[in-house]
Amino acid sequence: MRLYKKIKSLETGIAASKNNKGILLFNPTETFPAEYTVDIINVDKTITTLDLTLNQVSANAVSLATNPNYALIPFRISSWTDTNATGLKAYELF
Amino acid sequence: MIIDYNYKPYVHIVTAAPAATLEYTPPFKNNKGFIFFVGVDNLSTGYYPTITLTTPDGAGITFSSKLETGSFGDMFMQFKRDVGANTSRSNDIAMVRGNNSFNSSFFPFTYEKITITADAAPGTSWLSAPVIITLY
Repeated sequence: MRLYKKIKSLETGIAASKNNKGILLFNPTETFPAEYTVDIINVDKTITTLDLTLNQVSANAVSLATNPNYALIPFRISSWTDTNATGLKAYELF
Repeated sequence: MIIDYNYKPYVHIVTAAPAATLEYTPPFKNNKGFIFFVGVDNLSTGYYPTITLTTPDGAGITFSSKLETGSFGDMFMQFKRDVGANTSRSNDIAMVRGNNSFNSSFFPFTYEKITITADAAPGTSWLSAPVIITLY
């Protein structure tokens, strides 16, 4: 793998940088899973929107496998949307 | 980390109800593998389709995706920063894929066709239909 060298905040609904190489998402809540969409740029330049969910922080270590609150999508994206306004944070990676 | 960001994706969302066998052939040649995932909610019993790959030499490889309950409604690399009662873990960041379910969803070699056979009809717990991301 090659390391990402730069990270930049990206607000929901805002166009991403043209040269991003992926996105890191973080759900800071302890109550609600975050629902969100990511617009992924395909190899043929078309865009596909994926509906996804990112679970919340949990206070229970047993739930480590089922309550992740970070997700890394290692593909170039055009934008993302915080569907249920949970307060999801997102960062472009370069 | 398994997935290198230098892969270029081609996303295919399975639109038909996967209650029977479905076939998918990637639109472009010379792919380098694929990711398969399906979203289920936290309380569901999950959906464990059987995937059969046809490789360029004609060999068939069959595996059960064994997607963990609730854990692959998220995507790709997942990390957990635990807080609250388990303060001793407050700085832990770990990969959270369990039971090889992540590994079995990522195949790093060229394929010609995927056949998906559901183990049961999808229920109301589904968050998303099966997705195949072919890597180039």
